Amino acid sequence: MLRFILIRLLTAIPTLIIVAVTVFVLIRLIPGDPAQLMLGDLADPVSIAALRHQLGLDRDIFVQFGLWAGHVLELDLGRSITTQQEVLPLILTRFAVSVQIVLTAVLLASLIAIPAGTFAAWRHNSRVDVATVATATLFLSIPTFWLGLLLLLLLGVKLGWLPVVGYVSIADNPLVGALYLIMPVLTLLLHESGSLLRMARASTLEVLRLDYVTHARAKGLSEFAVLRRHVFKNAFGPSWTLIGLLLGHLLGGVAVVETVFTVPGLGRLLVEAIFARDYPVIQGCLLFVGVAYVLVNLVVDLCYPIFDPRVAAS
Amino acid sequence: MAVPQPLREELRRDPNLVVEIGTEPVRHSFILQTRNPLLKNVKLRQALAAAIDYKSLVEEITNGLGHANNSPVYQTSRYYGPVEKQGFAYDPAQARRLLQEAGYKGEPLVILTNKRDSMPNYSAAVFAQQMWQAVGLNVQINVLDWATQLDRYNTGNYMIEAFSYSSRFDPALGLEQIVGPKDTQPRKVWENPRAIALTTKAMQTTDPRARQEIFDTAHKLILEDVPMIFTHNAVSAVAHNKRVVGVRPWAAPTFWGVGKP
Repeated sequence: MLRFILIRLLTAIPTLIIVAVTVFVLIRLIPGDPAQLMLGDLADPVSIAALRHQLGLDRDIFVQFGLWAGHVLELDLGRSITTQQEVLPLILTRFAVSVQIVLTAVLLASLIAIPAGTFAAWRHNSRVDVATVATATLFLSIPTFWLGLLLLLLLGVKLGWLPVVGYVSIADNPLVGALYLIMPVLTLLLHESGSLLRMARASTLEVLRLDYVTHARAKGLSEFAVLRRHVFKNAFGPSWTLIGLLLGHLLGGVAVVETVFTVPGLGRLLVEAIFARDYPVIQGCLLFVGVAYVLVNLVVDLCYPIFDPRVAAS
Repeated sequence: MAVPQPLREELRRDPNLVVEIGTEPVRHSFILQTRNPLLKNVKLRQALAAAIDYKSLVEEITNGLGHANNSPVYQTSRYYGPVEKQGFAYDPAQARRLLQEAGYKGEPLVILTNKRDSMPNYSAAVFAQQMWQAVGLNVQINVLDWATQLDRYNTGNYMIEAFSYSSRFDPALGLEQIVGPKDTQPRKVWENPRAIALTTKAMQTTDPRARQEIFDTAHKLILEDVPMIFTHNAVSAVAHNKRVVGVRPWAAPTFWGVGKP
């Protein structure tokens, strides 16, 4: 097991190096730089050159990358150009906010969508199946920003049940903080439930057609026992993979949802940094997202044997 | 405290608060690239200026709180006098005539703009586009993120930009922001030698009457030359307790003139 983890972590290193180099180069190819933005319409060429020198942006790009990479190895992601805050603590603070939303949404989506998908597959081609698939497709088709705005309008403006704008940390006030998280979580939950439900339904349908399921039924097992013991365990693998991919993808920041609900998460930090051409923050965020993605998928892979003993054996 | 636009009416209803509205030296404009093959034609630039209904445009953008100002001198400056109040005349028929004289044949013009919350550049671009299209101009809008638009401004790589200039209390510095040779400073908008001479003179002159003459001349020249179209100054609001008087919206903190009623 330890060897497997080490191999997985080592094979992630080239990926992270590629991410780091690509982000470093691409962000510098976009027009505009932090010096121009900080000076705005004051920007005469001499002032821009002076500020670029001060920020170290006039150095050779290889030197800039070498310096940055050296600091990264010491877990120092630098300081934000615009706010002068240290990047790593800034990312961790924002990541904590995104994690609350993403983990809650994915957990709830899994608890709802996987049983629903399994049930729909069991009742294949029935009205329940059609209604479930139609609902899932509907939520999957609605873009998260639109779904978020609809929820804001309904739950925030029309009904006045939930706060429309702002953010209170759960650490500061658990009750009020939870109120601020309901709509972002609900938006993600509804959207991500769609894909999870469809995956659970499709994989369950495949398993239901296999001979050993027919055999289990022929043995006289109840339908519940067949589903629980023989179908679910074998059909859960693809859904688990999807959960891992969703977590990796969403933990990188749900920028749109965070923007709609003014939640100060990692996604919003990244978007703000891109608009401000805040290179250290952009590089730090994307590297962090890459690492998070690798780790989440590693954890998902390590959990496979729990659901499928064949993986452990191999 | 400074009040965002959506909160103003709500705060006005508070019996303990007073909301003051005023203008700042921030100047909103359309800058025209005078080296562009199309826009180097002064008749075309004059047509663009004549086609805009400034009163409507500014009323719409500022919710009726702002006033049109086509001058590089901001409205609350001591140098904003009778000459500066004479702006472009809204005359669609004249705009069409000028387009004919310019030999305009429907070539596309592109406005670069952005969607920053703090500036009305996008709204201004949309209103101006409609007014320009109404006189027969083929105008498109290209929305960029602010960093990219600023880069295009700094390199002079644009036809038209909806652009806002930050506050300069002295109109001479306000002119310096826009006037200068593009060969050495591509961000400069107006490279007319007379404008450059006037700006240099304004920097060196201290007598208020002489300065007023310089700014009057520069204002008249910008209306003729149309290297850019100033539309209005930024409208801002402050809310303060009724127990205080003398607070006025301004681009900087108020240090004096504030007291009890």
